[in-house]
Amino acid sequence: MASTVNLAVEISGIRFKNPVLTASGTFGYGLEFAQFFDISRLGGFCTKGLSLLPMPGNPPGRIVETPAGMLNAIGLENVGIDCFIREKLPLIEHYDTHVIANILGKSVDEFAELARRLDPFPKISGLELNISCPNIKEGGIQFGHNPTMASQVVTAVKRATTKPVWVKLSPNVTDITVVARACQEAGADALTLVNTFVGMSIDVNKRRPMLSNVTGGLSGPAIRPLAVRLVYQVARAVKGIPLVGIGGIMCARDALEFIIAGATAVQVGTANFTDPLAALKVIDGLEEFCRKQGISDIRELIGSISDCEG
Amino acid sequence: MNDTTNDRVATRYSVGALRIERLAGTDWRHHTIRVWSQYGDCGALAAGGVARYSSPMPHAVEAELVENKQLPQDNYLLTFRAPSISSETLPGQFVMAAPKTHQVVPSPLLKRPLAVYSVHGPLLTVLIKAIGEGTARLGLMRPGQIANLIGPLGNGFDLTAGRGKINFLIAGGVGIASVYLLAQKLKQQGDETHLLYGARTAADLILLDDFQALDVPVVPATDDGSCGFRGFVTAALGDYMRGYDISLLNFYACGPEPMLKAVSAFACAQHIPCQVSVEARMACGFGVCLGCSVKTKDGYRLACSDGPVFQASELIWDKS
Repeated sequence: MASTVNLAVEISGIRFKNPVLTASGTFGYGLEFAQFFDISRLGGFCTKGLSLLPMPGNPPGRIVETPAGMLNAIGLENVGIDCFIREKLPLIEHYDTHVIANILGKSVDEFAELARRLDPFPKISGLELNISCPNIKEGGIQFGHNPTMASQVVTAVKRATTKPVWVKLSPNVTDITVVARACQEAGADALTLVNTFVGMSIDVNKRRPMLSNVTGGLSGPAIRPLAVRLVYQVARAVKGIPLVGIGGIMCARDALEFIIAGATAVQVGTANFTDPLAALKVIDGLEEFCRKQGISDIRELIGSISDCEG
Repeated sequence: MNDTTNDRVATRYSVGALRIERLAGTDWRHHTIRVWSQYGDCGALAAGGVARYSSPMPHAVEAELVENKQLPQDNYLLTFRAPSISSETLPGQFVMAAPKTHQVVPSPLLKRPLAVYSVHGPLLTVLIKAIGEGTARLGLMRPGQIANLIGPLGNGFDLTAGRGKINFLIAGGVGIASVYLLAQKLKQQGDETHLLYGARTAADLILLDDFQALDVPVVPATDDGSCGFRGFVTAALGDYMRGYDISLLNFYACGPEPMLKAVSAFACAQHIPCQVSVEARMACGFGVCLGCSVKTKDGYRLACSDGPVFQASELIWDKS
């Protein structure tokens, strides 16, 4: 007898119909994927990182495929917050899915200003602070590597917005729990773990980097075990804040690893490039898994890992 | 028609109706809602033809390989049954392709962009040269096997530019893939069309018969002189165009970057209209990964969704 499975989860006061979001930088502004499937089926999606002014991005030579993954150094090309509000937001208004605006500032004030500009728009369910982009010189990662600065950004944004604030953390740190805790203490409502890992690839014939930026962010299945471990680590060390797991999720099984490790929801990223329907398949797969396992509510799985001590 | 819309979009795609107002005044470089016509014909559209809106509306499909024709020099002509894509493909558009796999993590992970060589009813043919792992795996496909295709993608060649002109299609190597459908359509609209085709050596000059069957004069050029003109196709071009009225010429080019750069420089210096189809590494093919940026006078633009066809005069080529 087929019973219904509850896939809905709540994070920072936002009720998602299922725990599957798509990741910033892999889903445009949502519309690009609307031509392949009904994006209202998603729990939500994160916009491409938005800055106060439009950003042109890095020179060509921005991506390269690597074993089970890819390096990117896009350089946060985006249309800017004003254009987003004026031109993109009205078009995504009628989709029944949560929109998390990923924002990026070069200073604490810029982060706060971005939050302020987005505050009047009910379609934006929450903000995700990108303090972890490895591909630009100013802003981003300088906040993500320093718990004091991360804390300042979160404090300033919380003051500037009424919306829930998620912080997307960098894995390129010695101890991610330090930054995670600093964000929590500053009032962050959820943490997204993790952004890309800094990597590099070399053209051996030309003896020069494959990417114009020299280094790039590694994403895709290659990073999944690293990301799962970081989610697990933070889930155990930092209690009382929901986690959103991300890193190389290709299918429902991969998403389950993050959920069982302690994530309340997941984000699908690079898989959207491999298969535009990847996120949908993850949703369907989660439901199927729960049904087969006799699990009526996916929330039972969150952080359900049984540790083998010793 | 809405004249307040960005000219380029308006002239190239003959914008009309509802969504147009949305396009008006937008930063169209980042706007994914595009307007196109399966006729590729502004005249028909203006007269009330059926227009397709909301991006080139690509389809993500599973397509059976019908034929794998092996050509010299690791080239393969793959024909898939992909009716939804084939019926809507315009000259110069491309598909993203990978063999279907049951592995959760395909290897390679990403699809490869491939120019559509020709379409015939439900059939769609692409040309690949097996260079890397992605193209090699496609080349190994057998009839009956399934590929995942997304397409049609990108903005193809503007055929109206060729109307009443003497059209020179300038192709280098595997760049020939992008200009066959174009040659067909130009001939269909009754316009004089010539092919200048450069490659390293005679064996690399593939598919010449297809063009000859269209009554398109072919001017081959090889680096080693083993067939036709000895030297770069751009040098052959300078030679060949003597005797033609320069004001009637119109160029379409596709090939390696140095060739496109040289053709563009030449065309711009001579004030000959020239469209080029560029190549770039890309992850998605539909304007999301932002990986395939191309430097233009208007800033970075995307090979996948702003191109792959650009006006030669708008591109900026790096020195190296």
